[in-house]
Amino acid sequence: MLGLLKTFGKGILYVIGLPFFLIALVLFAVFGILAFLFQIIKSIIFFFTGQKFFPELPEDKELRLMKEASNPAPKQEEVPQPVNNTPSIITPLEDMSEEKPIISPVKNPVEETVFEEPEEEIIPNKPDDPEDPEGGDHVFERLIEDEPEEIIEEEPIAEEEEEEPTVLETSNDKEDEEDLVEELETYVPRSSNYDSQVDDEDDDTDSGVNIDYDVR
Amino acid sequence: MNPIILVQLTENDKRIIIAICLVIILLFVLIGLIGSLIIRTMKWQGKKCDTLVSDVVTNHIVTTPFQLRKYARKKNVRHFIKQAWIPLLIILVGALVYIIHNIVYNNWAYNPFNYDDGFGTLLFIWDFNDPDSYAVVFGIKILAKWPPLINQPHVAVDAIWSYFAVPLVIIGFLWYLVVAQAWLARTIRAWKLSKQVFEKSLEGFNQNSPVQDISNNQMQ
Repeated sequence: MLGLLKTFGKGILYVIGLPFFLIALVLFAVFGILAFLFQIIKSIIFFFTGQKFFPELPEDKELRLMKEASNPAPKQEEVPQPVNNTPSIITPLEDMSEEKPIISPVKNPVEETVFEEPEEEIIPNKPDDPEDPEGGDHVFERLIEDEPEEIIEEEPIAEEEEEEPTVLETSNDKEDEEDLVEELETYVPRSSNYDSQVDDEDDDTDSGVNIDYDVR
Repeated sequence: MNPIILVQLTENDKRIIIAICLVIILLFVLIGLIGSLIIRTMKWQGKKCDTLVSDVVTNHIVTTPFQLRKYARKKNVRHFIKQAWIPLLIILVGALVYIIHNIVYNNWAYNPFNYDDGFGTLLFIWDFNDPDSYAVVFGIKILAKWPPLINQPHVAVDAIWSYFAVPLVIIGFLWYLVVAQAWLARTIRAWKLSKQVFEKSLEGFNQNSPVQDISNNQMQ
């Protein structure tokens, strides 16, 4: 009942204030049409001067500059990462200050033992330029340069190894040559149980595969 | 009023008076409910103003109530234009249909709501000008019976122009009024914020309190 009476009282107030509300609404509607027409004229001028329909307000511009000044980190984080994903690469600046090796000094031991290459110590930090922010990048470039060199060096070693088994070709001993010739002349293939099946003349037998290609 | 007349009221007259009072009360209650609904809607529409100006205010780019009102006015006008161009375009299309009809038929006195070749052909229309439908009660002329029906809904080919123009204009007009109301609501909200945001209160502050308390109050 009390709520009903409150609503009844509000209704009386709203009836009294309704004309003022309607006048304000009509004024805003009329002013809105004028503002709309004025904005259309301004937008046409902005269009021909190359500006946006709603150019940036000075306060918005100041806000944007403030945000750009306070958040420069995302641009630094966009530095491309190298292939070796070691944790120290993510923050190269810190590694430069601490003088830590970016790549672990332990290489693949298998490759070393096979190709017997001398270990090259990679120095990631330049002592002359401790504050060089691009020190990490230079190291990465050096590593990239080193890798193809290793690959190139591997090739002649591999060729040398291939040459090693072919001892016969490189030997000049006559005795060895004579032995080879004798071996080739006296070579007789060993007999097997399937020799009877190899002859083409024995086609009468039903056993085995008939490999006679004569057209019947 | 002469009190002798009140004594001479019949039971039927009293019942009519009671019924009329109840109707008036219910009418005001209904108006109160509708008004409360409109005010709640305007408060909800006014919250958009907070969204438009919050970044600038929280970053202390505007530092005075005048700057806040000025910035909020610009943002509110831009938001209003972004919302109002659609209903204004709809109204423009409806008006163009009406103008084209007048040009085609060469009749600039055409009433799009009449019940012969207008939008009235789709509505029930009663003759409220019939004198037989009214009665005088206490010197007041009131409706005594339902007036006669002069038009039932039917489709007229000549009225097809009004079938497009009238709904377009009505819909666009109502939509535009709602957008204008939202603009009014945001303007009221901006005015309130300009007072509230920069308001300083010494509530709970004591000059004789220790330094720590003072620094905490200042931070607040």
